[in-house]
Amino acid sequence: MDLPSSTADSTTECACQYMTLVPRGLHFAITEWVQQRIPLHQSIWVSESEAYSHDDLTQESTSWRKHSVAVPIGTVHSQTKSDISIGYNSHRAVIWTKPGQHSYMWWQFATAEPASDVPNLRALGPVTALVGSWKLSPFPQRRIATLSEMAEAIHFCLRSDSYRKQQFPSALRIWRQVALSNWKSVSERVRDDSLFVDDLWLASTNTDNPGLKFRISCVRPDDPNYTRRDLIMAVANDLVPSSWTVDLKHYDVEIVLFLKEDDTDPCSHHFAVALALHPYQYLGCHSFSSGIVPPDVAPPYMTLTGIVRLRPSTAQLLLHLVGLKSGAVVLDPCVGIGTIAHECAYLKYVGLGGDIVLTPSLLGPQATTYSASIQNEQQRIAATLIAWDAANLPIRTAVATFGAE
Amino acid sequence: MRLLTHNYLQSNVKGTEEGYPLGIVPETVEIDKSPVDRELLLNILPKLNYDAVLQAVEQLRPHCETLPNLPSTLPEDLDDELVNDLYFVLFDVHVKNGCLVCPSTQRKFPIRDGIPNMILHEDEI
Repeated sequence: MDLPSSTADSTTECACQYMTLVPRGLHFAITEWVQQRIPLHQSIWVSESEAYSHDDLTQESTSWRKHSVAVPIGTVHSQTKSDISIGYNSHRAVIWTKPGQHSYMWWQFATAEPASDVPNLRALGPVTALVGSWKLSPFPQRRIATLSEMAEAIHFCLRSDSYRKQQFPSALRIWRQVALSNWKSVSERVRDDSLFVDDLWLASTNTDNPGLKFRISCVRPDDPNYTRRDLIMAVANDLVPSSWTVDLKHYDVEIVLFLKEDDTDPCSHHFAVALALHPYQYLGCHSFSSGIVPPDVAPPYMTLTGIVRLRPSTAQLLLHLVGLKSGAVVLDPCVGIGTIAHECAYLKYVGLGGDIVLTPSLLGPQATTYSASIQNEQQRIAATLIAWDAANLPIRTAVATFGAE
Repeated sequence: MRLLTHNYLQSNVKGTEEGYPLGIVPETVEIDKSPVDRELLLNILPKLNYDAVLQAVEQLRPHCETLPNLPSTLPEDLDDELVNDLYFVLFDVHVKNGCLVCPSTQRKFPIRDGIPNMILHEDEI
């Protein structure tokens, strides 16, 4: 969004916007989020939000058109089909949707909260520090079709002074603030001030300066013409200073590329670059201790010590869908490792979860370790899990019937 | 196991007339302080069986000297001290090991590493 970014601390020398991916975005989940439903009482900058159906927007009498507010200066579109879109200008966001159709979408936002608190913003998707976003329209009559055409269009964006001297360094400073204040451990490179100078590309010409370690991931609909890996390989050299080195396991910075077709403009793509801000503090996976591949851009299943599990983002969306109030009891009769029950804490629900596999001989010890990690590393309340048979729930009546209150 | 969770659990053993509230026989009790959330606590209280909370606190008291003294009935308006005490009792006290005991049949449900095992045997269903 072209919303001015800000931080609560006016002395902070840098600020940036953020981007989050909404997995299988749902209209009402987005509406709630825009209005006020960021957990942990984080405030958001957008002052108003409204939701309209596509049909409404085609009518001259629609209130959107009646308002004195100018039409949107920009839009964020959904994947392939324009079922969820957000129009925005300097102080207002409008969400419109076609009922019955859902997809995922990007959602950029600016927050007045300090950068160190941004990783705690969740509920929808991993939050990333936005480096920059661009509309790629090199051909007036058609979209980009091949890898070389796409790479060339992206190169044009990444080789600019704006990217190298303003956008990337600014986002990197925010990323560093977050890493130093929120991550459990960071490498010495992240603590080295000399690696975070203003002109990173100029500094990288000094061969004595080793630079940070990084990896790249890509969020993009499937394309039969070229793979995500092909795209990453084609643009990697322009994304980061030349002194940075690739390390897929022990990286400092996770760079996330977002690419999708423009739903309303048949000749355009949207492209964005962002830095992952340790969104989920994925527990038990040591390779993610210094940076995380957002689960929604990774392979379909993430594992916690070998256990296939529900994604935290999906659990959050499910809980949002129920639309409960603080203190509500959420019963998960087949809670597994405890994802849904543990996610309840963010929304101030009481997570009551149990599973037949939570005995000491099965998943019980791992569930205990996971719960302890939530308490210690994420510093939030973990639910108490119970070993039970879902066919014979040991719950007293007047607490919950099968489901949530 | 928190006392908040204990408040919801009952014995479902076949033939049990009254499986609630479960008694607590603790072996290991730990305290893990967390920030008090007044709003959350006030929203939870209507769903709790307060007498069961009182009973649980007294059963844990020999193993946890820091447990506060709670009033026999809850006043309409809760002052901050009572809110803090209730929050502490419900959220911060963890029975790590021990067992839950059915008041009717004396059937014991073990607690290991904070997870109570309420799974019934075949002949109990």
